[in-house]
Amino acid sequence: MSAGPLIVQSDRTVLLETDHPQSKDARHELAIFAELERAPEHIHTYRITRLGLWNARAAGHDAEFIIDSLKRWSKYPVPEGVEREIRSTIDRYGKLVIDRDETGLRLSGATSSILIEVASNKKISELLDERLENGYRIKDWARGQLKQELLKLGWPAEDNAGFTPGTPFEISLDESLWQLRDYQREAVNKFEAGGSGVVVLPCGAGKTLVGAATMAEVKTNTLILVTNTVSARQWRDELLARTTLEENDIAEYSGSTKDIGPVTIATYQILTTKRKGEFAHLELLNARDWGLIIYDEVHLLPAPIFKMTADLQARRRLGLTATLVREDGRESDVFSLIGPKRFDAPWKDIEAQGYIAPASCYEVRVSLPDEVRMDYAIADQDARFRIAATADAKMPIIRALLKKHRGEPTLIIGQYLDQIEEVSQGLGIPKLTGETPVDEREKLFAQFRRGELTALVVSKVANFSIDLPEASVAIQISGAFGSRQEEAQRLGRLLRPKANGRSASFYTLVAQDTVEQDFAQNRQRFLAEQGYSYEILDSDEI
Amino acid sequence: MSELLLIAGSLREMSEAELKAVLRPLGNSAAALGDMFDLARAMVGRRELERRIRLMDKDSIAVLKAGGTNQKLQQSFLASEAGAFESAVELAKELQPIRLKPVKHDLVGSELANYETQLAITEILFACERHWLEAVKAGLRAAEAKDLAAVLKMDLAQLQLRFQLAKRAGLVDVIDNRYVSTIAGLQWLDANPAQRWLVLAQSIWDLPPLTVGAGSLETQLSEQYPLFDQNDLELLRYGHILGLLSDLEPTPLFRAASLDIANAGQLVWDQFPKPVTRIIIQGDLSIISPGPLSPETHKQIDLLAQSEDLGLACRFRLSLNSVLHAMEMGMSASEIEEILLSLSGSDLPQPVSYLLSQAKKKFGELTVRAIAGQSVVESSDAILLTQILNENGLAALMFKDDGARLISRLNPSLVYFNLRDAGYPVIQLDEAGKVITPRLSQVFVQPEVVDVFALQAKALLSAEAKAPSPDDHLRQLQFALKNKLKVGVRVDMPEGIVELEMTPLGIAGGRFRGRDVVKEAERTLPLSRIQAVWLS
Repeated sequence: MSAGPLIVQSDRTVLLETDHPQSKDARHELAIFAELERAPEHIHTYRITRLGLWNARAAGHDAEFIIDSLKRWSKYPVPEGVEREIRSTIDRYGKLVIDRDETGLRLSGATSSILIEVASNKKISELLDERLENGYRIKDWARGQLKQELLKLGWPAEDNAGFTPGTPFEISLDESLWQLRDYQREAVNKFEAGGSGVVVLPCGAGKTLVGAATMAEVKTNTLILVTNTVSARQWRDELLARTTLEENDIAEYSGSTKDIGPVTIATYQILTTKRKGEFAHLELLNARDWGLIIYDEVHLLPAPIFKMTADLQARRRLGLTATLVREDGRESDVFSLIGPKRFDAPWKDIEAQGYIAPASCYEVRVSLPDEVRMDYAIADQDARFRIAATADAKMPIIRALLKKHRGEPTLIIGQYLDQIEEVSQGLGIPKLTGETPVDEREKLFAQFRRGELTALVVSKVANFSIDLPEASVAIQISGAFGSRQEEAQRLGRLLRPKANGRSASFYTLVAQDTVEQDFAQNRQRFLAEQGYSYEILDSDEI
Repeated sequence: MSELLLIAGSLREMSEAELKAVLRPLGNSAAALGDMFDLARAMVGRRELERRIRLMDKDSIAVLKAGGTNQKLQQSFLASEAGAFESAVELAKELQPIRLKPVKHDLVGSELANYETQLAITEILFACERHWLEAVKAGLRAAEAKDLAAVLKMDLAQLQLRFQLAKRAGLVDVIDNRYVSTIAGLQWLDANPAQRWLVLAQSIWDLPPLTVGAGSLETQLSEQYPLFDQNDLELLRYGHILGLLSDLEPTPLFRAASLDIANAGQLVWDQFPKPVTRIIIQGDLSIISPGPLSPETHKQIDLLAQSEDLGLACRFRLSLNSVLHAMEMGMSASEIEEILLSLSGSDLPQPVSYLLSQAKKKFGELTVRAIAGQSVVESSDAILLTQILNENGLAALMFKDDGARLISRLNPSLVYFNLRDAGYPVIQLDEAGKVITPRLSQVFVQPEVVDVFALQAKALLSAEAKAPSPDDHLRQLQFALKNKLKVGVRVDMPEGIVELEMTPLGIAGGRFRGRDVVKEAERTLPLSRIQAVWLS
């Protein structure tokens, strides 16, 4: 025990005092076995999870190393329960091994009692074939699912079966006009060392480049899964600009085009499209011998893709995201199917390095007139949120903010199509929603990027993956209840560093004394945990 | 024994009032009352005899089994009367040691055990002030326990254990079917860690005279008191959360307390993690302490913020309701601001200042008070009242619209806490229109004056059935079956409580089968419905 920068708590959270002179060294060791959960200004919170401990064990660190590290940097005694838990968790690792012989995959165990325990589990027994001398034959397709089930049972398997290398394909980065940043390089290295996993970086911090650099390291046929066609095209443009890949090397597999190439970019939507009750485009997954699959915005991975991912365990998988929070609580599924978190960087650290733009966040409390308040008061609970979110009283505030930020590229972001329509018509600003054709969307985004349009009213289609580097003001007029992820992604649209170095302004309009105010507080949690602070303004202050 | 039984029989036939009348002339003389109750205990018979035998040390039991006597046996009335003595000797031969029941929670103590326990009890006391914590048999109601356990990062069993400890130490009591912190509880909050520990430790220190050596206390007790029922020992139950035991083994603190409990608390204080002097107030309205809080600081923050995460480091959150709570306790917005400034040593983030200004505006906007036995909710904002009237979550308060106010026939405090939990900025007023502070209302409500004689009489009448566990019943029935003895049983039947005299025939499948002596018929009774058993 020392007067160190860590506080280890009984629920296995570890707090790191960032102002402490030893915080950098402590953070370095902590990152080996604990996951960063919150990173506000002064105190960062990490959590010691079973998965994190097993990953550390897989990387060659034993329980003594972890406990010593905690004791060395901890300000107070490490709770005994935590110490015991670390030892017993680490002890369970490697008792089961998945490897491959000439016939196929097999599961072997250090002791027959563990093998019997796991094989007697109904879900696991369905994934195993015949009994071998000291183990079981694993069904060809079941490697991923078996690993997932074994994890749930608390017996993580050491996977020595290796990855399919895929058909080699030469890809290199073209760094003549740019350079990979240190944190991007570190993310690539960590991914490479681990084999599969998730890289978490703030919006605008260059996740696509991490993908490109990984492709350049692995040099194999690659399948990239993205959220929509616009994003697919942004990926294509970025790969063409930053790597040695040429037009012919990159194919798009989407609703409009169904090409397959050494590097294929497909949308989640096309993969989950069903025809006559069957997924119609599953052949894409086996169309080539992919050596790498990249999941962009992995937090949005639709449920059917989870299942497919379990079948793809032999291939390297890279998940990219800024906000690994799922409102459905399935973060752990992401880890068990794609792989553990390999790299995570606090948003404010990247901001301090100048790689994302600083942003000021404001919550504007809009007073409602009495007649709307009365509508709200007599409405049932379900209708109240919508009354508050779509209140006309927000319109004059939008006007005032546009006036205040005249000439600055501004996004007005809403949830409800009729509200978006009204604002678009009322202010004479083009709108962009899910109904807008892809070509039209690309045209509007291009105009916005060139500065021909200074404002756009957008729906949730612009929440993710849309690269609008010059956008510096966002006015959020309504949102999906308390979604932390949506809030962060919307702010993320503004975080590309600006050419003139100006900071971004993010406004959220909230009807005062309504349920929208409570939801707003919940929405802001993720960003608050990343160190963003909201200034609260009354509408008459605008 | 026959004379005793005669007296016992007479007492048993008396009503509660008659028994009270018999006891009252004995006055408050401890000796006289003691004799009387010794007599009463003796009349209970075998159970009391068993209890006394089980309290005997190894040597005394050996003497008793051999039919001898010594001072201890005589002091316990085990060798003072011929009939009782014979029964005691017989029973001592029959009685078997009782094993300590396994507990579900972890019994390992830790260096931080006292810190965690004091933190938990502090939080429980503040929860009593902020919420309507309904008193239930298990302690805290599951939903409330779950919330508190999450804040304290404890499992439910550990939290309930600490709650029971607080109750046992007299820090929490029940008034109007609601848990409240007592005056002793509020005094405990003001005490230092050593004093706090002493209050808790004294409330559970119930070991018989013991020579403590190395190894498990359970083993040592079994060796020195072979028939002793250790399941009744509070020290074994709570020792690990007060740093006295770890895995039932005495700690250095236990040894220090055995020698001088009054000064052992200093050891606790020395072991306490050193509190931080600076807290951090963030723009998201959270208050972070990057280490343990001193009791004084914890008290200050708990007054004006809601705890979210407590441990070695703590996180609280300010909200409109939490600030209004502080204002109800008599603080002004500027006083709250001053406290926050002095605790953090830096300027307040803008959202905190905004919140304080909002609280200032909203304080008193919505009130609840008792008028003519009803709760009246008032506000100058009629739309706000309409909103409350239409709130699904408040339907259980059965509000009626009475023009410019809402009326509920439920208790004003219940209405107040429900409105508060629903997020409304409500305060409670007394008849004179003054703000009722949640804390004062707890402190000054005293339990009704208790008639000590009525209690004693009641206890005497119910002594026979007092706290017998199902295991006791089973044991007695098995004993009767084995020895072909008749038993009296009190059974909770659909038609009400009945007492039967039975000849046991068998016990199986959770049922007791026997022959009803009066009706001369065979009956099968579920063991779970048997409330009391006595040998007849």
